[in-house]
Amino acid sequence: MTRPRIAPVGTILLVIAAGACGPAGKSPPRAAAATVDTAAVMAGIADLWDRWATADTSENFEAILGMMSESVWVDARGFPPMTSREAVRAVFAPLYAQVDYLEASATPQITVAMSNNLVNQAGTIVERYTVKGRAGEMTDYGRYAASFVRGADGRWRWGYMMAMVDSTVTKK
Amino acid sequence: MRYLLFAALALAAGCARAAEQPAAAPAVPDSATTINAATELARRYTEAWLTADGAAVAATFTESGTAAFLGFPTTTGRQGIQSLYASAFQALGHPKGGLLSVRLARAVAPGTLGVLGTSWDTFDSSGTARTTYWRWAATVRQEADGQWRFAYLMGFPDSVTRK
Repeated sequence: MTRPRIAPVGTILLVIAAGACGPAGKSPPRAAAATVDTAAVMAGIADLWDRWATADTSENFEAILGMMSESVWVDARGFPPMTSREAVRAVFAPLYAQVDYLEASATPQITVAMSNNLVNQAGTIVERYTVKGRAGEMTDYGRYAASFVRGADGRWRWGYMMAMVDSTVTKK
Repeated sequence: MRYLLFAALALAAGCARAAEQPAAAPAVPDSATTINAATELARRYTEAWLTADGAAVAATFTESGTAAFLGFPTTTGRQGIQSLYASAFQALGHPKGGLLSVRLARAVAPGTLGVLGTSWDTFDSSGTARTTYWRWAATVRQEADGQWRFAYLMGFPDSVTRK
């Protein structure tokens, strides 16, 4: 099983702080808003991509679905907008069954941690695969833009994904 | 790509005997404001697009914004985006029509929106009107001048019709 190559580049920390009243204040001191733990957020997203690559190359489509929020919205070129995990399942399950993924990797290029529970990211994706019953190997080179959300269970999932294949190289 | 690093102001509430002013945190826009901001940006983009002016379209992006369209390289920086659009207009000519529409807009943080939309554009292709229908996704930010602009815009064409 090929290990994914993840090379996150560039993050921005958003810090929101609120001040408190003086010692004889009539109102209770305001709690400071949470500082974004960039390292933890980045590690969480990298882990998600790691798990995606493992599931993709294991043809574990259910695991990939589990990495999407229930109300995920997916805009993938060549397919109608999918606005739930079940919609993604309905569209992609039959297609997924026909493909053997040999290699999958994502390279984030822009990552913005909006909070400890929301990350926007854009980057490139490479997937190498064969289609069952057909000779040859194909490699898709594409780009993505995504929003990741962290749920109550602490796990990061796709909340939104736009993906497009820029080119496909076929090796016979 | 470099986003502006910004920090919310820490407002210390005065503790004068007079009634205190509550410290104001940056507001996350309500739904109506969000939709209006996104729709207004879409309107400005469409208006600029219809002039076939690369600089005008690029002005709807932040200085360090990124455009990622199928068929074109990912381009970061207003200057590069201006060149991108200028080259496209040079190749395709003046658009005969077009419209950028908002499907969904959501406030994700103070001064930042996530927006999904569709668009269409029509160019003359050797006497035939060629209309391309697109889907797009964007991060939109409110800048110091109060204007909302694209910080990131990705789009791909779904279909083309010819008449």
